[in-house]
Amino acid sequence: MTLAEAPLGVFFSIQSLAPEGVDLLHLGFVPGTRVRLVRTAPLGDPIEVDIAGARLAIRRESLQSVTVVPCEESA
Amino acid sequence: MNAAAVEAPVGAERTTLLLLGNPNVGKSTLFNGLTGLRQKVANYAGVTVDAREGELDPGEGQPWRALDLPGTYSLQPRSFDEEIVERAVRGDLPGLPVPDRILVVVDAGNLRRNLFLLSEILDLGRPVVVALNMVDEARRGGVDVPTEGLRAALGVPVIETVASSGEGLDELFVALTSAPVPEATRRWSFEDAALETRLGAAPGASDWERLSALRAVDPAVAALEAQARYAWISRVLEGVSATADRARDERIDRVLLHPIVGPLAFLLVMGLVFQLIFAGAEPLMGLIEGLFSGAQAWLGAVLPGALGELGTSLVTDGIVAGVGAVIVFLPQILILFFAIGFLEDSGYMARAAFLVDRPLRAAGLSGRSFIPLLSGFACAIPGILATRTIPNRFERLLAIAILPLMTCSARLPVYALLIAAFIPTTKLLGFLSLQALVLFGLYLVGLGAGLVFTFVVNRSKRTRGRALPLVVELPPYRRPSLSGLLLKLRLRGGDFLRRAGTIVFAVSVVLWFLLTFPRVGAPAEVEAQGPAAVKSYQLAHSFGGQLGHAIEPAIRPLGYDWKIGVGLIASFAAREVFVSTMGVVYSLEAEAAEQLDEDSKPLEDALKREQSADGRPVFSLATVCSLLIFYAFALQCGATVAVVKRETNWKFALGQLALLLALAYGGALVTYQGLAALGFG
Repeated sequence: MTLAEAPLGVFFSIQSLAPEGVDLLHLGFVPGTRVRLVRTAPLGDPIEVDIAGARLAIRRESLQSVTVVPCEESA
Repeated sequence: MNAAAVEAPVGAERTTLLLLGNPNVGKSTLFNGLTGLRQKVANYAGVTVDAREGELDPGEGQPWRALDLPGTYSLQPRSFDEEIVERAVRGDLPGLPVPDRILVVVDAGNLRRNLFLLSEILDLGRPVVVALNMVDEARRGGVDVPTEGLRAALGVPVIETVASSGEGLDELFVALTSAPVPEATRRWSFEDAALETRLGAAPGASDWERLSALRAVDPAVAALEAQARYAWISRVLEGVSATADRARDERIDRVLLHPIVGPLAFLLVMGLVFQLIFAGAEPLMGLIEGLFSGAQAWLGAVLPGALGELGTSLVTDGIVAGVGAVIVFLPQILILFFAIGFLEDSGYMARAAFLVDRPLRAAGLSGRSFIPLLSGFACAIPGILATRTIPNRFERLLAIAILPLMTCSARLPVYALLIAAFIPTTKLLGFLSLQALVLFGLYLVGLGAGLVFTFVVNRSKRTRGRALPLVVELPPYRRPSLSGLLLKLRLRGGDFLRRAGTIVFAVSVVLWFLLTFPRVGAPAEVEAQGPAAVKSYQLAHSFGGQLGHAIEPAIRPLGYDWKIGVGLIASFAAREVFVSTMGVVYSLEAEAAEQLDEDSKPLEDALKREQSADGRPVFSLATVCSLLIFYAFALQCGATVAVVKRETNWKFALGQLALLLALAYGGALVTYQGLAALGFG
């Protein structure tokens, strides 16, 4: 599943990043990192993402390049 | 250290300190604390950097140069601002040597993200000191700040600071200036040993340069590098709860980013900003106008003895009037800067970008363009400078292209004159003033034209550029520091005055020349009508007046006569000049002309009285609307053209000038001909 399809409020673990997503690497989107969608903007896009201790507003389109798997422990 | 470095002449160059860090880490506050108030906006050989330069006095020898650079997430540049930072760090900016010390400011409450940039900076192999800032806020938020662990892991001095209260500044100062600072080294490594070997063999003087070389030949390296850096960060922060509790921010965001309440709150905030800009600036603008007209009158009385009539006219009508016309907008611009600075420092601006990204995207822009466009409603110049934070170059050019269409405050005097004189004071539905609606409509016309333009350009673009992700960090909400805001205001205001003032000064002199020469003697019958009539006669026969006559055939279809043509020509470098030029063209009594802006009644009456040869009023509804549209679209601002040229190139700047002129002409033509056909001519 890509992060663009993930439900809000649930933690996922990043599995891989498509080549288009290379710009997200610097922001902490590296495999193994826990990530959670917090909320969408009023018109459904962009999306507030909780990652590496920060909140980032990112467009849904960009999140399609992030593949995630459910998080084992949900702390 | 090699022999050449030891023998290098000491003292030839001043020691240079660079401040680096992510956005929103209190970097500028720390800079203010270290350097005090003696700062200036940094400029290096044509590259305008949104950076400040100050001095750091270690007590002996020359004071150091200290440079505060724009916040960045990575040294691998994504925006113009970030590119400047990367070049500055490598010593690649003209007039700026390789830095002797780098101070990296890190938010103690957001270490995981901040350590990424820090790890890149360490790779440069320069002397680095780390300020672990906002430790108070981080500890309050439950972060167990691992200062000792960081010292061991980074191998460079790490000082805890609280920039807003000055805590730790003395210690930081000593660490920067007194103690020897070791050269940093790369702390992380690739998981793949073969890659490490390749890195060692790559060309370059530092690990950073070797990495850049490796990235250039093998695009796959960037991903592995980022992964290795974050793996290192995870090891450094192992067992540390390094993330601040955001419960308070979450409560605020639940309201301000709410699907319904959020947009309403946004509109309210914008409404307040505009109210502040226009209502708040009014008394100050009146004061400045009074000062300048007072100065004009005083100089007009004092100077003729020393400079003669012509010299006095140059000083009073040319320079003082021209420069005054720009300075009068300073209060609005300062209030705008204050409001934007306040919203930025509080953390709301990032939320605003989050809220408006989707609507702006429909027009081919993004939330990143929001602040520049907002600035454009006071003045296009700060807006154009603000586009530097837009990472996507294409979007940045789009934003610059449409910024002059945002209704800036220089258009207001023209709008005010024409609306007050010719739009009836009717109330619609009993309370909506028709005049206010027309004014509001003009704002929408400009904004709408801009967004339609970007929409069309985006649609017709054959190759869509690499779509950079919109990434806006939503920082914790913080109380802005008033002293920091005021300092920023002083620097930005001074920069605006220098930038706009010098250009306006030059243009004022040229315009004065065009409207004053050749000086013809007025015939006796004109002489008999008094000095105002003589002035009007001379203007009609000046180069400017002749130009007005020359362009009359071209502007006739827009409903203008040669007198309006003179006003258009005179206002080509600054729109607001239209009002004072019309005052001269319509031979107002001198004292009446002086109070034009404050209370333009005499000019309004003169415009209403004006008749064409066939006895019909010149200023018909069709002509007035056509003029309003012309001013809404045309780029009549020399300062803007100069700044656009500097931020892009001559081709872009002149193309924009021509395009907006064509748009203004076409819009005015359609408006006039349409209304005339309906019987309003």
